[in-house]
Amino acid sequence: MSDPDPSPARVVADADVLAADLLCGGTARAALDHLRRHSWTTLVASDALLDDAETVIAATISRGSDGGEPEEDDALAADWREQVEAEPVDPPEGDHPALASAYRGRAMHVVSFDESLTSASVATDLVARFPVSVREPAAFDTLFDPESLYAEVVGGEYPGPDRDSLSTS
Amino acid sequence: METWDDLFERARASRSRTTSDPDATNDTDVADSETSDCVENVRETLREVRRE
Repeated sequence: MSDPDPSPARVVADADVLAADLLCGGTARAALDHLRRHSWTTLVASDALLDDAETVIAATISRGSDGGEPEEDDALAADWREQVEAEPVDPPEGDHPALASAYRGRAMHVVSFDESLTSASVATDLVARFPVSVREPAAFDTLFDPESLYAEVVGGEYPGPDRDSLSTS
Repeated sequence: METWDDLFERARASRSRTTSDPDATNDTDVADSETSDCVENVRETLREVRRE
């Protein structure tokens, strides 16, 4: 099967955003709600990236808890892993998991809290190698324009969200 | 089958076992402060995971 074309509807969320979506809400959830609400968008992630997020979820809960119910905390991370719907990619080991997922998965957007990825100088270097923009969740949430994106990747008039962001399973 | 709403509620319950910011002065401050602290905890944890 051939690789898909690069698409602005294909998005990688770094492990910090995936974990913060579940644990913190805020801008991370607002950013990923756009993907949950629109079936024509695609979350792309390698196993390494999902492994990082699952580990961060379990470790963050464990760090913040008072020591009670550790089995339930581990189960939450495992259940998140089962719930998350991401198109798998298999990038080479050693590269940054989010950038490698975007490169191999032809995703044109990476959402991350990591300032080392969102700086202007890094953006310039990345765009020279492949068409991608890296934004913090708040910026992605603000700039996500479903009407124009739908017209570009699907065609026709935007019909509105076609999924319930909270009930998607 | 579990929904995202179910998972978010379980995560919220886990977070409720953590300590609130004593400097926050109203509900909005508490929510904003807890979200900010939560994100910083997540970021720090990811840095540790990727250093290993």
